[in-house]
Amino acid sequence: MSKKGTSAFILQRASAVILAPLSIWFLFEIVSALTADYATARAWLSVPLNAALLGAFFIIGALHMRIGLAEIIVDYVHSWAKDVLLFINWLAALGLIAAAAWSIYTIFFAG
Amino acid sequence: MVQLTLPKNSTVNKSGKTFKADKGAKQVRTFKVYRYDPSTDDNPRLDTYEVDVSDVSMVLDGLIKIKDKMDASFAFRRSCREGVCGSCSFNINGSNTLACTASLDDLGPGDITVYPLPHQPVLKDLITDLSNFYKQHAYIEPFLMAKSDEPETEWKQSQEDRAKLDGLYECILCACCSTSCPSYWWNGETASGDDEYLGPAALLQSYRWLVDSRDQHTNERLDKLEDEFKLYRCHTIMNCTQTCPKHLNPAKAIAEVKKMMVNRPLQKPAKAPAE
Amino acid sequence: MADGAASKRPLSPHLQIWRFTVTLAASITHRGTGVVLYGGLLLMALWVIGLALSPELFAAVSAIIHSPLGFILIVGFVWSLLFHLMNGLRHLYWDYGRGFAMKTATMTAWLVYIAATLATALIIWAGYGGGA
Repeated sequence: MSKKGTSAFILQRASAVILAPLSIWFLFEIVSALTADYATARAWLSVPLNAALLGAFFIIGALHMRIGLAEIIVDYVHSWAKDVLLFINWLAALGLIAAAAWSIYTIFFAG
Repeated sequence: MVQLTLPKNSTVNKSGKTFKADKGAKQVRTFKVYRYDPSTDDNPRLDTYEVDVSDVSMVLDGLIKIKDKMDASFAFRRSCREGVCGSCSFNINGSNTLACTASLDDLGPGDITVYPLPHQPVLKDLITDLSNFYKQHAYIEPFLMAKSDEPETEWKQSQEDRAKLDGLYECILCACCSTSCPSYWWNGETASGDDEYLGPAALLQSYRWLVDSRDQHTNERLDKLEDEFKLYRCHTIMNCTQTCPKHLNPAKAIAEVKKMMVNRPLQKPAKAPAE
Repeated sequence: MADGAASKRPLSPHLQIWRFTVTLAASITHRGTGVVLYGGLLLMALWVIGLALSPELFAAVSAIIHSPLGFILIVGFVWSLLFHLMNGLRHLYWDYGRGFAMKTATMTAWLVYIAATLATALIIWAGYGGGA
């Protein structure tokens, strides 16, 4: 683990810097989008800017949250369970990226 | 999992002995003090001392008075009684500080509770085993290391470069900061000795040598800090800076070390020649 | 001290005796909100998947969103995102090497709690059509 500490540190900060403006956009949109009906929600996500920004929010958010939870696991879990939890954490992040990317792609191209 | 509660042998019996003040006492304040006797199998306990503080100004004076006048079995470290030796560091009213520079007036009214430095193995009463803390200090190699030949007179340093050591060299290794840090509680000591967080005190000392213009082992020093634990268990919780009795800023020193880590590849000249 | 007494040595109290400060609270809250956002993002993914798959699945997710539980989840998610965002900026400022004076760190911690709460109220009010 020659550079593991510093690379995670940098990746965490870099993703945070991108997420900050994305979060502000997200906060402006999210409550009305979440409470909308089916047709309105699909129409909202068919707008190219909304699809691109929500996709970016999911992907970069997943990377950021993976590092963050890994920090928590490394802090508190010192047994064999540590590697198992770190692996599940990876799966959750990758699953999130795949599910969100597929869904947004499907909706966007379905019009 | 990290244990957030105390082990069975470490829970504190809150109803220890009570030592009353003399009848003629002028001004009484109550000290509640952590006691542990290694010669018995009893758990640690909290003893209560009603101390006549009419001639006492600092917490340390009160503890010395307890030992001299009330209970000779009470053990604690102390030496200089003026904030330069770093011996009498305890947890006083919920925060770590030096008993010799903590005045009773500043603590406000109410009882004065004195515990050993947090999350450390207790030898007796307020005396903790700081071997691991010193081992971590040794790990950062707290001495000048040069590569060039020794100069004929002395290693010279400009006034500007010397000023960079202000706020760092004053550390007296009292361990208040490291033992205030939750990250150090959970990761400061492991059975194997691997995967240990060095803690604010050792890292502040590390920065003291990293930033020293005369030291030529900067890269090697940074290499020794590069893993997930030694440096990066610091999450800027700020307990260290809040608790330092010398008003130094270990959290800032650690941030500077992280900056050196991040900026390092940019400064390092490429070893392999570009094609 | 010798003869294997080391293992019998008690551990001095830590969490049990430490006096809380707002800087410490903000640090723990940053961690807690991070975990909430982790869960929140997974729930958000369910919403997008429902939207992509079928109106029926979306209706099921939507029913939860419009229940009192859904309201609590949304408020919690928005507050967590705002706190984590603002306290994250505090962290970035620290990583830049600034803002370490204890007075500054204490003030910015209070500021983040207050600002996150006010902004949450505003966003929830506007999001549920209060502004319309």
